[in-house]
Amino acid sequence: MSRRIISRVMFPTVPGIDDLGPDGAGAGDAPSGLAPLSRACSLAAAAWTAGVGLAFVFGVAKRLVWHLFG
Amino acid sequence: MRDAFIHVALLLWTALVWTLGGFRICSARLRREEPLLVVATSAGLGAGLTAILLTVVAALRLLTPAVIWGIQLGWTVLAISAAHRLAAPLLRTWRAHGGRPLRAWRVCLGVLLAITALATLLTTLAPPTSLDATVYHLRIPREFLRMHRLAPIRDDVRMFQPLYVQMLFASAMGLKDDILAALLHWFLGVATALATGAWARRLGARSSLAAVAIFVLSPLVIWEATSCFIDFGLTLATALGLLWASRPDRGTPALALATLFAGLAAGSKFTGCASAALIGLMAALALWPDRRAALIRLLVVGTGALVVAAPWYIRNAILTGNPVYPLANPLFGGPPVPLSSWHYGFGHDLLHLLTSPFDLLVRGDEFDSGWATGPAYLALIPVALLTRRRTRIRLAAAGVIALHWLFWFYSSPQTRLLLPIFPLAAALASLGLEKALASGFWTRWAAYGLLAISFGVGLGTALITARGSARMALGLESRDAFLHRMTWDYEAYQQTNRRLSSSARLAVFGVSNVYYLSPPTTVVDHDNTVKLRAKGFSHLLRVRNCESDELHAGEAVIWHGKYMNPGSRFQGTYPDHHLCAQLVDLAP
Repeated sequence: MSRRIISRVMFPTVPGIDDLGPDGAGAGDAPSGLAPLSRACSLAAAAWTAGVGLAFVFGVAKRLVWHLFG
Repeated sequence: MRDAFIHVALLLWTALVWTLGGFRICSARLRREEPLLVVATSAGLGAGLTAILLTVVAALRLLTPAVIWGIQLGWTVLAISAAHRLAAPLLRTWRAHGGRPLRAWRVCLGVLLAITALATLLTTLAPPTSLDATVYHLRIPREFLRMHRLAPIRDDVRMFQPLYVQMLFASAMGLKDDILAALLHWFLGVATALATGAWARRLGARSSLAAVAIFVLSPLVIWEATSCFIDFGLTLATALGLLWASRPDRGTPALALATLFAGLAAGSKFTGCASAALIGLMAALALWPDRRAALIRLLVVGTGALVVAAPWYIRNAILTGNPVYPLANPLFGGPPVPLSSWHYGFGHDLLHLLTSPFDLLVRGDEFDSGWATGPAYLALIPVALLTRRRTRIRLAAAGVIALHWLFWFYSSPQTRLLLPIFPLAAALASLGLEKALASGFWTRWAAYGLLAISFGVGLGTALITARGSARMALGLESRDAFLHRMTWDYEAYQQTNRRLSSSARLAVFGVSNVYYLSPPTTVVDHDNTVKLRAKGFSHLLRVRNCESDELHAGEAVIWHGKYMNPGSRFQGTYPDHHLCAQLVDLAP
């Protein structure tokens, strides 16, 4: 529940990131809104995104440790 | 503090007249395009045409502060005549979109971007301290201004790079000084961020702000924004050239802009030739499968870009016999000359090519701070390509990124050489972000976490750099104390400047970052005093490790000192290693 509240407070527009709308020339998605990913695709995307984020944190942390104690 | 205000005023004046002047020159048909694109294109046009004009002026041996002021006033007149034309579309845009309620996430991103812009601006208001700036980006325009022409400076192979962006630094140094030069590079960064937003719109993103934030809030971009480099000039030209090349529906004016920006890219750095080739390819692909029309567009962009970039390649041919010196020197009958003595990356085999995006993040030191690209690109671009509709323009953008990656990997895989494709990559990543935020709980929160890490590291980098320079920028620290703290070898340079007049001819051995030396200086590859005296040098500054620091019998040493260099520009007070220097009078 608390996660939902935080999500709504911080990002109240999700899922509709709105701005000026597609310019037409390159737009490939329906203007009314983005269809959410299927459950399997969504989990795969979450795993990929989180994995890359953690890899980055690992890379930076390793560098910091080397810098401070190496 | 007063100096800071003068610098900001000059920056605003130059940025405004370049942008308005560029807007005035732009075809009336193109002025009705997306506002971000129009402003970025106008700024790029103003800067690019100034660089070309100053190159012609320098080739005619007329490069003086008076001529530079004349060009600036010319832009001002042009800008005044264009102001009312730009006001109308800006008002229209404001009326159409300005009244819309600001969403919380837009406010968050806006605040993050504003803090980053202010922090980097503050850092840039201090004297330039990056190594590349003090080795050649600033030394070249200073020598050009000193000699009023495209003077040959032969002691560093990087002097033979195409130099359009350095001509903008010459303009800044003619108007004021090297701090303004760094500020103009910062402005080119702002224009590049706008071009990134324009690319996001071109790819069909709902928000240009997300792409701009992904581009700006990476440590690499922030690092670039705080000193004199050429990379934002090259990146802006590449992003705009590719974008206009992808618009055959906008006819000849769009093709002309693509051609001009391709030429500016090739005239800003050798690697810009790859950007020009990609712009030509994009122009051709835009009309594919009409092979004849595609070929004509490719030829037009190629030939036009060659003409625009030609001055620098002709200069090299005249000076060395090789238009791309030092590249491919044996082909032109000369000895092999390496452009860089460093080797980057882990190897050029297929396995390392496939792992290179991960290597960049996890063990990026071999690529020169690969971590500085941030994780957003690698995390979100695949999501965009696999989950959003693969329209022709999105595939073309992905293809351009892939081709540039191949060029980068097999040429010189330094992290910052990836910058020219960052605007396209950020735009594609913003598509992936939109999809992730529109999907299930875990995907959404993985994306939030990624953004928090990515933007947090970017913002942290901006604040750390500002912390190192703020006191100097605000007039609370002396220039000498700041340069002592932030640059290498300044102790030796300060001692030398105190002892030598401008009539001295100084040879420097052991270091190449000689920008802050006042007398005319040549970097030499040996310290044989007899040979140097025979070549007409009056003094030698010898810098080396203290272990090998011996005074030679018979040498007239007029200063001898030991000093400590800072560990990095980001941590000016962190001591790294000791060096010893000797200033020798070469008079017989």
